[in-house]
Amino acid sequence: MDIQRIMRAALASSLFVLPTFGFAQAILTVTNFETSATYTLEELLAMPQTTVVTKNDFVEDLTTFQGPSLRSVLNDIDVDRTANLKMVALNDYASKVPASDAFTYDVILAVLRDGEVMSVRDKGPIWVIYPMDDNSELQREIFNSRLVWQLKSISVE
Amino acid sequence: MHRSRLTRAVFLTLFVGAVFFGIWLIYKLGNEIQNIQTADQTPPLWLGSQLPLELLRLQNNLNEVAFGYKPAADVVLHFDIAWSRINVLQEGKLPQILANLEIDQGVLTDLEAIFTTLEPQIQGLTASSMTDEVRRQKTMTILAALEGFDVPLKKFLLAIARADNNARVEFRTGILSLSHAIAYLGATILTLFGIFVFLLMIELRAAKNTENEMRKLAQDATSASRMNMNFMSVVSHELRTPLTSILGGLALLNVRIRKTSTDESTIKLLDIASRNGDRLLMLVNDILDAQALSDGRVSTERNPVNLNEIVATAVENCNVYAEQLGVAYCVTTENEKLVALTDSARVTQVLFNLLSNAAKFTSSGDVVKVNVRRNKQMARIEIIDKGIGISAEQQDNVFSPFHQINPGISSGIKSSGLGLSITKQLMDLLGGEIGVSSNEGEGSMFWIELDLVPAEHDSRKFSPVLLISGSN
Repeated sequence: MDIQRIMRAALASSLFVLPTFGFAQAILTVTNFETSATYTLEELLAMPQTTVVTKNDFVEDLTTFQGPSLRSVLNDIDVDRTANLKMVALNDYASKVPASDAFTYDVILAVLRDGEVMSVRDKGPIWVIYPMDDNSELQREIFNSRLVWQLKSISVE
Repeated sequence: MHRSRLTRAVFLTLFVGAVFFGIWLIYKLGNEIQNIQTADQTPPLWLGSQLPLELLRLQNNLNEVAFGYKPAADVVLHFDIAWSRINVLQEGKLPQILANLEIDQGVLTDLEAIFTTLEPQIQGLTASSMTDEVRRQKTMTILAALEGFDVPLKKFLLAIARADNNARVEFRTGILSLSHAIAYLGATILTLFGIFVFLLMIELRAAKNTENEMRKLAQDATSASRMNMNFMSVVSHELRTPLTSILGGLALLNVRIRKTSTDESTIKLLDIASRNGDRLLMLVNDILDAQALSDGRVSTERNPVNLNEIVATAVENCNVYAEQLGVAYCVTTENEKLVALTDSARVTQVLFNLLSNAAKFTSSGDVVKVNVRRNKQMARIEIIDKGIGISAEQQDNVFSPFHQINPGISSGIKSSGLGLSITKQLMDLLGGEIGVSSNEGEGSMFWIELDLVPAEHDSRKFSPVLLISGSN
């Protein structure tokens, strides 16, 4: 009886905790037609991290960005390198990005800026970062528009 | 000629001008490209217009929360997003660009100040303990605080739109002038090419004209000299007939006078007359020979001849003339026969010319040396005098027609100046070589060389012929 009660309590508490935990923490949805994946900040931090040290038009100085590479996220759901991606921000701003960028350059989904988590006020929680300092051809306006901040979802078009 | 030079100068100036214009265009093109690249790298100004939009959304959400249509958490999110828009405009390159465009950023700092004061109230909205009524009142307060930003934000937006538009116009102008510059550059390159081709054509035509002129001049010169020679030849022919009669008559008269008269002065006068007649005849013959050679009317026959014998004959022929001048010949030959396949009469003529020349330039009582020797496969005949010699610069011209080295000094006998020229032409005709080496004041050495017939041939085949020529 005791065990049953404990089990029931555990189930009830898990039912209570899990959805709120999942709802609160999933910050990124990646969709490839039928398949999709969601990531929490912790999951993104647990993935192999790529560090990009670069400057761009929206930061003052050389900044260290860290996060999983866009490539690894796309590979998780088998996105073809010729695909076109639609990146959507928290305010529903959308930007079209060719998936090939992710395979050509070390484009990252930065979750840490100078070692710290980014708040929404500070372009967080996810900021798409191109290694612009390492590749001068990326220092153009068209790539500026691909530096999507407050990233919410990525979907294949 | 003057006009073409002028055209060339004009086109050359044009060419240089076009080159400089092209360089200037390329420089300008570089600048334009730089401008466009800079414009391309500038972060977009429309980012500024996102702020009023997000503020509107925030206000909208506040209203909806006030009436309970949406959870309070949405307000917090949109508050953060709106705040992030203020931050975007205050970080990186954008504030500098806004400052450069003289856009008033005061509204941003004002808004940030309001946001800072509103932050605790907004966070407070999410408190679960709050009743709907309180929440509505609070949201109304917040909305009231956010009012009054409409006008300055609109102004801000307008300023940004205007600046953005200006930037676009500038960019478009840049592209336009870039395309103009490219078009001008293309036209310049075409012009350069055209001028180049034109200059080339002018040069070609000038070169052609010059060539034609030169050819005409050369033709004129040739025909003039031919006419000259023809005239001389006709005159010489006409002269020779009466001259022969005069000389014949003089010879007969000489014989007769010597028999009947002992008057020394008469005999002397006759001698002078016949000597000058002889010289005149020699002159006339030289002219005719030279004419025949230059017309190619002289033919040669090739027979094996013993050059030793030819030299002996030529020396013998010349002896009479040399004795008159008090000059003797000293001939040195080799023991072996020197057989050449050549024209004996022409070789004799050549040797006669050289021998008489040498005698002419040798002072009385002196000796002219004649050496005949083998020089590998050639026979070399050298005639060495101790005359006045020939200076180095004159040695080059000695074989050209009408060339004379003041021969009057030593002998008082003048020549046509054709002798050596005829000799040279004869040697060319025979396929031999002729040359001179001389030191001025010490004498000269004239030499000729003729190919020898290989030894085994001449002993068997040609000896009978040699016998015949020897019996001549």
